[in-house]
Amino acid sequence: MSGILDLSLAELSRKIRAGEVSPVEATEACLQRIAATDNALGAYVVVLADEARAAARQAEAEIKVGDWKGPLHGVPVAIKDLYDMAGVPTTSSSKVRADWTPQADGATAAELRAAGAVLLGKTHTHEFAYGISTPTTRNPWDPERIPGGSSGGSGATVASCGAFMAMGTDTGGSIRIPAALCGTVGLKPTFGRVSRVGVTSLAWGLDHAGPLTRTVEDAAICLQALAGYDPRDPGSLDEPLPDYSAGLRDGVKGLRVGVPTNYFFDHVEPEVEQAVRKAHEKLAELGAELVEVALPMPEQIMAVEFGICLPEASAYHREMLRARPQDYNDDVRVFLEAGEMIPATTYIQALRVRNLLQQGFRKLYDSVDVIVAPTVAATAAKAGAQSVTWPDGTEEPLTSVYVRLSAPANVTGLPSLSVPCGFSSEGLPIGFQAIGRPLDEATVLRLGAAYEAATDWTSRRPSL
Amino acid sequence: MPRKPLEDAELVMLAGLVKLDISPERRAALGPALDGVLAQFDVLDEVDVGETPPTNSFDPRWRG
Repeated sequence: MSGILDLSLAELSRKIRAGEVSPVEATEACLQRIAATDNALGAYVVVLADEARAAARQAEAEIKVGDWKGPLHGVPVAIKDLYDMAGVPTTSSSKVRADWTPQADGATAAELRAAGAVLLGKTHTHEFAYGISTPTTRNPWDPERIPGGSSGGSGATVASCGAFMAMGTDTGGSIRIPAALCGTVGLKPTFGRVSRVGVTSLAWGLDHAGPLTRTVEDAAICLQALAGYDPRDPGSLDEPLPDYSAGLRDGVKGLRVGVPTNYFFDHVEPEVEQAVRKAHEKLAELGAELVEVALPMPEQIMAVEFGICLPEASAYHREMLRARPQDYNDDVRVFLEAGEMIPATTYIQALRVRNLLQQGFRKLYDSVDVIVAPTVAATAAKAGAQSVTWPDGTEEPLTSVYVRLSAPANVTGLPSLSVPCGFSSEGLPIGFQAIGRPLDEATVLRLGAAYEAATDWTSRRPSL
Repeated sequence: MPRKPLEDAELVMLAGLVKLDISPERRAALGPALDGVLAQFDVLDEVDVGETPPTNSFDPRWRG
């Protein structure tokens, strides 16, 4: 594999700026890598090779004359096929939208182009982001297994070094689940921090946009380029934008890290629990103060997540579900149909309980600065698996296994960063998530960076 | 009070209410799925929400 591909986004960016590596070289390396691996991985809906090469040449020319746009200039990245790119179909990995082509870039594509990034192509999502397995795509660490979802294509391409960053969306964990299962970093920012204009919606009240990257520094760089107020997005926050890289190396001395005593370690694979508890110990070694915390109303979290997600998703799909129901995959179609039959009062009850959950979490953060917990309860399942059977005999559907630990940050809108923290005995990645206060991405990034610097998980690559 | 599984006639009624054309074969899959989600949502009724409003409040300011 080309040495260029082994670099982080930040390292590549520095080399591009210094003239040591050209955007054209980096883009060609990615395109070759994708060509070599995508038969096995199925990460991409479409690779825009000609457009990417043209953008790389333009970036090279601009940088040569001193017109450097910033750390994403000339960096090859990918984008989940929920995000609009002008002139390129946004299929949402569905037959329903196979021929739907937006005429304009959405906010993210526009920002990435303005930053000079090279857009390599569009990655597979679970159909309309409504699932956790991304069946088109396989895990680079074991191609017999799922990459997670719904941003599975993005997780697979970043993990296999096909792109230096790939955009995902996260409604119930869909950035962090593939990040954890594919061994990448994944950032779900605060709800409303990154514009969702031009992103196909799953649930307006829960959708977040964010990057999957190889390192925490890379995530900070990408967030800087993407975050900001967008009046066209009703959920967008009009809040000042900090410098997310400024305090990255400040360490965790004195940081109060919440160790959950409930919910996050219930029905979790022993190796996942062990890896995350070792991460707690490492953070303590680095100077963090560990504080036990108990989540409020844990039995309500999944009910609120799905009580909002199902009706909103069905509302979005009302017309398409009637026009071309046969074009949906069965697993998505059945929940779109079910979502139409949920009483409005149940949906509103979920929104009211959400309010109480938000208040409960706010009290929690009186005693901690960040909560560190497993991102998901299990490592990557075999493709086609529908459930997990736990040692106590309980059988749990796969959706629940992967969503229940990521749902708290969706329901509360708090920023959550998934960081690799180990591997199972089968060589499968494990991740922890750092959940911070609203708009405090800087602290979760600082914690992630400190942990990353003290370990080597993010430097490991699959042998694909 | 535990829920009883929805009967086919009830699914037919619900499908008619929301104007969805759902075949008998599809109702066979929909029934258990809908039973499952409705049962999951029952726990929401255990919360005393008091005067708590829902989170999606309308903002009348014009933006953009």
